Amino acid sequence: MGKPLNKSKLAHSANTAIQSVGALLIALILGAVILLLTGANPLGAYGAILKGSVGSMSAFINTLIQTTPLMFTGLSYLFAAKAGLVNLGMEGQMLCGAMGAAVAGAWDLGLPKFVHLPLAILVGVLAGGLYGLIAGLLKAKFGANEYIVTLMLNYVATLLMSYLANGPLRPEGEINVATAPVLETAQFTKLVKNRGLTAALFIAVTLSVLVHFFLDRTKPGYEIRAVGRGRLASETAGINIARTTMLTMFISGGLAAMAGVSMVLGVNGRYIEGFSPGYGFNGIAVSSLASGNPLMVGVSALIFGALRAGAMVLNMTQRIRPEFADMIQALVVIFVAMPALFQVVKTRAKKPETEPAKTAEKKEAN
Amino acid sequence: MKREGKKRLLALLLAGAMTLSLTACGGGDDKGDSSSGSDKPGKNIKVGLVIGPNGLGDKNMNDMSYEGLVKAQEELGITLDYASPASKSDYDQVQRMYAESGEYDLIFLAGVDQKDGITKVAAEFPDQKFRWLDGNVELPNVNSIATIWPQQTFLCGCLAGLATNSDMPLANKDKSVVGCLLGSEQPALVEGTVGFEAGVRYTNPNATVLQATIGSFTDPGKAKEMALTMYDKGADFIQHIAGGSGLGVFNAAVEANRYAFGVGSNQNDVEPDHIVATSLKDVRNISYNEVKKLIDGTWEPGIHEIGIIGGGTGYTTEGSNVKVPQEIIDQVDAIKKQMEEGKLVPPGQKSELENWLKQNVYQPAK
Repeated sequence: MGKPLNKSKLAHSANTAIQSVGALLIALILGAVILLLTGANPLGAYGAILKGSVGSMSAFINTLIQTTPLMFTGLSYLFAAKAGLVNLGMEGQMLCGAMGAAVAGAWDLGLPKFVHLPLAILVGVLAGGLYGLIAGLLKAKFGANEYIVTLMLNYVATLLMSYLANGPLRPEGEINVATAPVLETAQFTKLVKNRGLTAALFIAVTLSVLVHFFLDRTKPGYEIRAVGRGRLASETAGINIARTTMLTMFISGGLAAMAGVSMVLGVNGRYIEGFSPGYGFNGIAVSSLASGNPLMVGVSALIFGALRAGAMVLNMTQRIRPEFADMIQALVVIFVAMPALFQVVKTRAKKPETEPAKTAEKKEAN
Repeated sequence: MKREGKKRLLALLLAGAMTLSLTACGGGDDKGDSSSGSDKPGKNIKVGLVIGPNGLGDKNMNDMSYEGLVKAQEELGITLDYASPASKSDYDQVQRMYAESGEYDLIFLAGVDQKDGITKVAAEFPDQKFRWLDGNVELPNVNSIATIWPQQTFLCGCLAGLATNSDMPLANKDKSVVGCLLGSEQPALVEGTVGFEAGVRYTNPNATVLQATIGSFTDPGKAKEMALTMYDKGADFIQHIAGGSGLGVFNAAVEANRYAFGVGSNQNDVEPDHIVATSLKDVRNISYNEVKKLIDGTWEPGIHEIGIIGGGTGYTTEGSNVKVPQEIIDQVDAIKKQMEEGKLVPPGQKSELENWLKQNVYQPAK
């Protein structure tokens, strides 16, 4: 069932790689132009980003802390996209996952770590997965547009979690809007003392490989990709579209939930309202830059993670808001979504060969 | 071919326009260039400021902390850097970045939600001095300043109690109803509502205080509707403790043609014909004085509470066009004096309120 690597596939992945790198470069250049227009110094700004992301061990740890949740949401978006679905509800699914993990993690059952931690992860993943399943179910049974359903469910999740963190789940006397601290037995092992870099990063890497394997080498994975290529054709071929849609949204939601789980059981040690700077939506950019290849999600997330970590120093020394990172991300998405732009570049590069064809075309048009 | 080229150009232009609009909201905060080359007392002092993720322009804690330090920069010649994290998860990373650099004599933290970060980072950098506003944790290298909320709102409560039955033009003389709108039920802020109610019922035992919680510090629309409902029920003065949502209360005051109280920094000039006074918390001066103490060598860590005694809080009518009868002002000032002498301490807990009112019966000074 797995497709053998052939020449055209290789050429295809080389193409998409060029496109991704090109999009990133254009985004960075345009970012520099915008910095110039706002009166900032682009060289100083990018220097600060480098310093804040890879300039020291501590900076690189910050980069990896930022990379971890981005990997999960990147995988989440990518997974749904394989089935031709657009999951815009990753932020909400992530919040559900975070809250699920926070509740299970703070629950004192006297369990040892090797039971409690997986349990807390599982509860989080199930919470996010089931939340994603709502959109899948509505799509499969009633043909509801998943763009709208997932997007709107973000608000429901945000407000519901806000209510829980403000009300019933907030411990007595807590001054922040947050839940009770997660027990030691439910926390990810820290890779560096006192820092938010945890074993969750390994889970993210493992999951990218698993997702790749699942999509490429298993029957349900094949069905998901088939549905993504053509719903009607796969239905004719006997694939259960409804079931595939629901499965996809469940897994996609579960992957997004892992971002929240990693923040709660790793970085923050509890659910804090406003813990996410938009990791859910950032997943779209991560997946776009990885051009749909699960094995590239790690690289893509690392680039955006570095940008996010660097943005902190950028803010401190250059007085540029940390949202600069979001802007670059948005630019990348825009340019990745413009494959035609790169076709122009390519045809220009091959000009001598294609010139006759072009003139012929022109004549025809005239 | 030509037409497609045009399309591409249009797409590029659109993308450009979008990115410009994205950056438009981020600009405009490069006020604080370090002044240099003078003999000002603080020329060798460098301080850092970590504000909340919503950045400058919040008309609240972030702005006030920043303005206080800019004042210190202008008058005392210190050097100032500030930064805001992208989300609450990044507080510790930004705090650590400042601490790691070792360049800063004092790091200011604005906002109670920096708690999880500072308890970690302060322990890691025992030689780094921090100042944390609205902090409540005893740490050996942190000066935690907590404002006593009931003392902040009590005097506006007294004013409302006295004025609700007065001849002031927008008050309804025959109804003793006032209101208090809370942003979210954070324990410290709830103490503020108790202080306000205590003030109202201290000076006017027959008065009723309507109370409601908006559930957000950034929802002026909802705040306005809730305030209008209160005005409808006969309230003529409303105190808000709701950050950015408070602007909706002021709007409602204009629409219903009633009175309101500001909170935090002096808000009287927002709607000077309707805002009678502000329950003042002088974060600007608190921050400025902290720098002074650092220069004088009198800076010390610990938990410091700031209330009427110590001059961090109070009430002010400055900047308001509303004419409050002099006899009411005199009475409120007399109460303030009693508080300054430590003879009158407003309650902060709901459970204490009834008892407190029985024990403290108001006798107007003649």
